[in-house]
Amino acid sequence: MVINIYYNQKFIYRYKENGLGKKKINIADYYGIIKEFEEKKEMEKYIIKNSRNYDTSTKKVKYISLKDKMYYLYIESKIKRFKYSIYFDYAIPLNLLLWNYIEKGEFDSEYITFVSENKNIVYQKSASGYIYGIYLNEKMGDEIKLDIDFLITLIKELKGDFKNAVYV
Amino acid sequence: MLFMFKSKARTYLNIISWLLMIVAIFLLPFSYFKTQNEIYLRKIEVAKSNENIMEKYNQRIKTTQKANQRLYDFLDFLEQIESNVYIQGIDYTLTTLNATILVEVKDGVKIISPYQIKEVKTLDLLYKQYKLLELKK
Repeated sequence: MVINIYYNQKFIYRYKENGLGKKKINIADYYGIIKEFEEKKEMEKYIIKNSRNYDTSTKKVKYISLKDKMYYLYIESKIKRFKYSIYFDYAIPLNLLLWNYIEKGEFDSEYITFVSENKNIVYQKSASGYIYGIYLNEKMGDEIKLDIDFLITLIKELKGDFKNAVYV
Repeated sequence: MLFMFKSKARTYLNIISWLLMIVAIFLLPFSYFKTQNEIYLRKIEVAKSNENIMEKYNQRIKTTQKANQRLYDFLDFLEQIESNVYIQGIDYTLTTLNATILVEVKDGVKIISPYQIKEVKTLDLLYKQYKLLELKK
């Protein structure tokens, strides 16, 4: 099986694995958020509090449980462009991928910022791991340069995870 | 654990393409044998038409042969002569045949029956001209 990886629909890396066929994975910018909640009710409260209007409510916002108490929140209608894309088999949000990278490595600082030309992605340390992964203009804490070379090294490290990924 | 969003449209497209491929693989031998059969039938048709043409041609030859039996016999006779023969002129109707031929003769005249050949004139020491007067068997 040949796995092609694209970053914002631009080809960056290709590698082979056992099996037939071809898979295309797109790493995309998506403004989902990683948050920590003690209970699910708290999460619902948070969603209702932060909703801009009535449409964005608990029905519209979906979540993936990353670890216990850690959730990745995303708006369902905005994810449709991944779910109905004809060109790519799978899509993964950039901040979720970077969160996985942080989980594997050992970081100590309060804040971690991934710096690229247009955007900075900031993570904050909490009790059980790093949270948020939001796009900001400011730079805080440790800075890691985010470019295509860095992404390729990251993909090489996470090859096993790509193989055993959970599809939503 | 890595979470990825799976494209539904893409999976359906993959399933459809696999199905189409399986159907195509299944149909491939049938279409192959069908085309081979068509080629064979066409070849037979061509052979038949060729046969027809040959039959017509042979018939025509036969009819002409029947009509011009005498001339053919004469030509056969000319073929039987063992030296070089040159036809100078043939005047042929259904009842009469007058022909002027040159025969290469080395030692005198050798007449081959059943035709009568009359010496007309000595051309050379080696070459002589003869005229066929009558054709009788």
